[in-house]
Amino acid sequence: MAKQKPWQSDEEFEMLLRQSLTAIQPPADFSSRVMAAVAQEKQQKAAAPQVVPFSKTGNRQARRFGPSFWPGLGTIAASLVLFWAAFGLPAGSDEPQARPFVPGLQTAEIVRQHEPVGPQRPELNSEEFNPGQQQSDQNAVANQPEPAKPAEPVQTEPPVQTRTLNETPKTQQTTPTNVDPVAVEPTQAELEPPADETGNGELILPQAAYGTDAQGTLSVRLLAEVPSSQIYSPAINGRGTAASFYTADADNVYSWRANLTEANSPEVTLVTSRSDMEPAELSALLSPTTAKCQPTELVASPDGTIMAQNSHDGIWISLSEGEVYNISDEEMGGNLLAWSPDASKLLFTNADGQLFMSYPLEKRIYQITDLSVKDVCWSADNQTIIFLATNQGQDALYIAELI
Amino acid sequence: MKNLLDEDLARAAQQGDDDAFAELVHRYERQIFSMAYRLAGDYDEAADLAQEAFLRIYRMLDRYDPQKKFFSWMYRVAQNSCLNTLNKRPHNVIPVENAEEYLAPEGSDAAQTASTAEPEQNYLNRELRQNIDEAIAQLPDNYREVVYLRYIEDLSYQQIAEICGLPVSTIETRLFRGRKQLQKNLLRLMQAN
Repeated sequence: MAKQKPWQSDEEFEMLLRQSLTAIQPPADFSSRVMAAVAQEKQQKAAAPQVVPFSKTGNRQARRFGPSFWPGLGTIAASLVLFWAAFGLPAGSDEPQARPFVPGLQTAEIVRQHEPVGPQRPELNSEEFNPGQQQSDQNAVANQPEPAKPAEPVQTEPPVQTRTLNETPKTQQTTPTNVDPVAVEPTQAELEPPADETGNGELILPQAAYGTDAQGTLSVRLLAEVPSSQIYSPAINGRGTAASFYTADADNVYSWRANLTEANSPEVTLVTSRSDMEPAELSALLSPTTAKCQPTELVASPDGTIMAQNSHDGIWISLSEGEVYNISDEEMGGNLLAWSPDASKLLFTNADGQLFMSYPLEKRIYQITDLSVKDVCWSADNQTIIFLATNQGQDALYIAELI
Repeated sequence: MKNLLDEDLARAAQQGDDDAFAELVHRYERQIFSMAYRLAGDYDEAADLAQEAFLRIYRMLDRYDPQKKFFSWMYRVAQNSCLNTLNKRPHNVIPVENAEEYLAPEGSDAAQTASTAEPEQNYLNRELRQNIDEAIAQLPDNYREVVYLRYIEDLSYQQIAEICGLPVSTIETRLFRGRKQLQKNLLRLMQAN
């Protein structure tokens, strides 16, 4: 039986809708609850470390590296290298080890190389190291041939000039090559480090207000370098315990693995090699971990709420609620733009390939390195990155950790 | 304070005036709560979502441009906050009946009807309301959105136009056509039931 229509006109239907669809009333104490939460927020914010606001290029006070820090560290590092050169490496260090990255030094890192064994051609296992994915590293191919005699380490004289990594190329400070950096007298301003420097020689990042609760330091270390070889497809496993990359020559593709469990001495080994790959397969294997972006391209955060653009006039951020702003007043326009898996941080390069990291919602930027970076990879825990850079024509893999 | 424009209140709140922000919360708690309820489908969860949305609005106040309309900015931030929170955590969607007692303000005709009507009448009202909800759900997206904003979140044409980024005339047209389609959908549902 057809029911009678409960309205006879458009006006009655309008009234019916208004009676049936009314706004939901919030709890009576809703406003009080919100303001209590606001008051608590204010208290927590007052107790939190001060966040240094992003400032324009001319204001060096906002930069995280103090001007007195790097020359001092460079001096210590230069002294250590001279000591090693004079007295040799410590016992037990015949095998190449990853040394901490020190600015200004050009020490090449030696990777232990293994000669491939006979006719066996084990399959390359690249599944373990899909960037950012949680993968077990227990099924890695473990066909390690007999270790060959390691090549002689290549050491170069450390250059006298030191560089402050955080400064842009335009304002890069260098000391003349014929001046002993130890003799440079620091100014009074340089003697007074920024208030939030721990003094242990590491970059300090203030607590991020959104998306992360990390308050710590950033350390950049050289991870691996294969002489006369380009490096491809850097990746880090889900637990952050191992990294991988490929090198290739005219005949073979080599798969390498770096054990990251020992922070100061990552062990890099050749896992396997392969010579019978199809061109398409080879191209896929050696493709960049982070796809190159164009200056007009919008790259969405993993959660889809923020869009970023690496443009020539800066890094543009577009929020889903409509706000659009530029977080960099310096020219960028590099071809890398990589979101952390939790969308709290953003890596990008400028036109010279120098790598920066930002907390885009707080509009804070930190320079990671002034080397020319070709590729980056975030770890799944949003705290570690691996980046591939070119240093004097030689590819090298670096690891940077937000400790 | 009650006579100040939203933009003036927002400007004051940016300077640290919590009373100004409290006035903004009081003005729009119903709209934001209704939106949160529409997304969550559960009254208690809507309260949490709406509270979190206002907190996010407070945190992002320094990014609000007082030259722009405050309501549309606030609404987008709140909606984004609710959607992000819902996407991050599992939640149980409870049918609309969960919020029946909160549907109408005190003294309204609907509230009077709900509290004093015979059980059979209450059942018919509930059935009609369910049919209306279903009829709305069957609307095309662009019609459904404006119907929700107008009748459930009680927004003006101007406010809807600002949120949707469309001219008021387009909103009027969509509401007109949405109502026509809603009538057809509702009749079909009533006949089917």
